[in-house]
Amino acid sequence: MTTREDTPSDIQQVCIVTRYEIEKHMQSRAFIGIMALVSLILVLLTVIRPILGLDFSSDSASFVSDYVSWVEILVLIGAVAFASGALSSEFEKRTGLLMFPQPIKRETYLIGKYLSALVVIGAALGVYYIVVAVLSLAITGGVPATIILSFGFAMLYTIAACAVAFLFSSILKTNTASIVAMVLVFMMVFSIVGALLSMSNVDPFFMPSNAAGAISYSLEDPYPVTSTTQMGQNMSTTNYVPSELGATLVLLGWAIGSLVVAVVAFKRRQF
Amino acid sequence: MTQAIQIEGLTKTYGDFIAVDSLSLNISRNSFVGFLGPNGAGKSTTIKMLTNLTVATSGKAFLNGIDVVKDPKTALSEVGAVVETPEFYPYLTPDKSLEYIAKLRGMKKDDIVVRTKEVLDLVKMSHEHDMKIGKFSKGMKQRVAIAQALMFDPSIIILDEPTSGLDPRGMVEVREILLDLKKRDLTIFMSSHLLNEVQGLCDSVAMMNHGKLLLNKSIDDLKKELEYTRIQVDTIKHIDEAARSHLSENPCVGGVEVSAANQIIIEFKGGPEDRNDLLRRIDSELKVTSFFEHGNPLEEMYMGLIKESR
Ligand SMILES: Nc1ncnc2c1ncn2[C@@H]1O[C@H](COP(=O)(O)OP(=O)(O)OP(=O)(O)O)[C@@H](O)[C@H]1O
Ligand SMILES: [Mg+2]
Repeated sequence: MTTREDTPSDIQQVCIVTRYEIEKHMQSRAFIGIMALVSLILVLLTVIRPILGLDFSSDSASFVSDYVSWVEILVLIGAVAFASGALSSEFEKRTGLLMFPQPIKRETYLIGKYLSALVVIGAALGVYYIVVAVLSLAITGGVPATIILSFGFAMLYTIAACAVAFLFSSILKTNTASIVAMVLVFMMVFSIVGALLSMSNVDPFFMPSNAAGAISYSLEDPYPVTSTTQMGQNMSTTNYVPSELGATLVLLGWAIGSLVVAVVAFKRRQF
Repeated sequence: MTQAIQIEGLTKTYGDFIAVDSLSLNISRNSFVGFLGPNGAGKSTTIKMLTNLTVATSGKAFLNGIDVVKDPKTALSEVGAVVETPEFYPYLTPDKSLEYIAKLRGMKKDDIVVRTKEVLDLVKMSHEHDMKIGKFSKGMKQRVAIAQALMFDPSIIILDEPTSGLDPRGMVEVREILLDLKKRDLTIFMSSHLLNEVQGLCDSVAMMNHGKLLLNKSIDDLKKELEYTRIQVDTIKHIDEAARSHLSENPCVGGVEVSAANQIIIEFKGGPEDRNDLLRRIDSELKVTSFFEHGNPLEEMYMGLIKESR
């Protein structure tokens, strides 16, 4: 018989949940889907240019940049696939009836699930970046060192996006609602608000999608800065570039804030 | 010694609706308690408060003396539960699902392998041990859920209608498993609508309606308390009004109900001699073809109590 003394510590349980949730993700159709998407983007970007008779950029940084511009969308799709349903499905699909009566704290469970989402999306991004690096080496003869920095920002964006997805998942009744909320907020609300702020000359540095710009900007050496272009006499547009530190702090801030709310909501939620 | 399950003034409200109304109930160690009540009585809600699925509005509940509201992790460490019809992660196999839960509970790797085989054998699911659960029928999932609750040899088992969704053979099998568990050193708290099941398995029953506890008694006491036994008698001769009223004059007979032309149901009170006497009388008058106890005492009691509490 297992007794009170046998029950693993919270930290050990986080590791157990992470391990089995990863296994669950790997067996899921979503995982096959995201790997197929990664392959599709890689193949299309690599094959279409030669077919159209266009040359690849000979500069490795700008070669890589073509590929990296797709990372943001990959992260969002990953968050929708592996994080949006993580908590809501426990209620909607009734698996919580099995898991919550186990001797484990709800927050332990949430953190384990969150880490598993990061690992799985991180693995997909890792594959993507490695293939891009290999292609860059093969086609341009070099790999920009900054690609590692770009991968770092992609992971930071994953950390923030998954946290927001967990927040929706902890509050909303169904997986579908949670996915819709995620898509609306990231693809519409953040873009619209970001664009409006820029137009009224306010730096939208605190928006996650703005901070995510660092994924591409970090490929450039030196790292770019905010610049204003004069267009005619009274018109100017400002391209707000998030600083590296700023982007890091903003993304971590969103992650922590969202996770805290998600934990509170998930603990209060009941069958 | 602390009680296995101790419930003190437990209350759950949904808005204005009181689903469980300051329920107090003690379940002592090594007992097998049936938890009865009509649909919507509050059984599942009570069980959910005991298993960290729902937070009580007020009141307390202790499992092995540990407050399940304050410290669910410790309180549930020796509890196996099947609540309503739980679902498993569809992409995992029974082997993996049991392994996941067993790891969370701190079982050793070797024990997990041995025990998984044992419990899947017990619920007759060893054949499907490495198939994805997503494809399983409701009853198959319920079997795996029961296996999950037994996996780590719990000291308390909480079951919410464990045989619901099972085929007749499955019900018999689960009943046999439960009967076998009864011999062991553990406490079982089981809600059920199957009164025969409860009467056959449980030592005592707790019954609720409208969120309130109506009764908490041992099955033996219940039987003793029940005034009348209902006896169904089938006869060759037609039962007319004269025969009926003649029968009701017998001091051992409480009431007589003619349920068909050749069938009566008698409310009987008395010892074996009285019963034999009654049988002889009816036989000589109406020619008896069969004579047996009708219904079960639990059912009588249940119907009586529910009628009163409507
Ligand atoms: N989440 C909820 N929100 C609102 N009301 C609820 C909720 N869960 C249960 N109830 C109500 O609480 C009451 C008790 O429900 P419960 O599920 O505990 O009944 P039960 O005794 O298990 O019934 P059954 O025998 O049908 O399983 C019901 O009237 C039900 O409508
Ligand atoms: Mg119920």
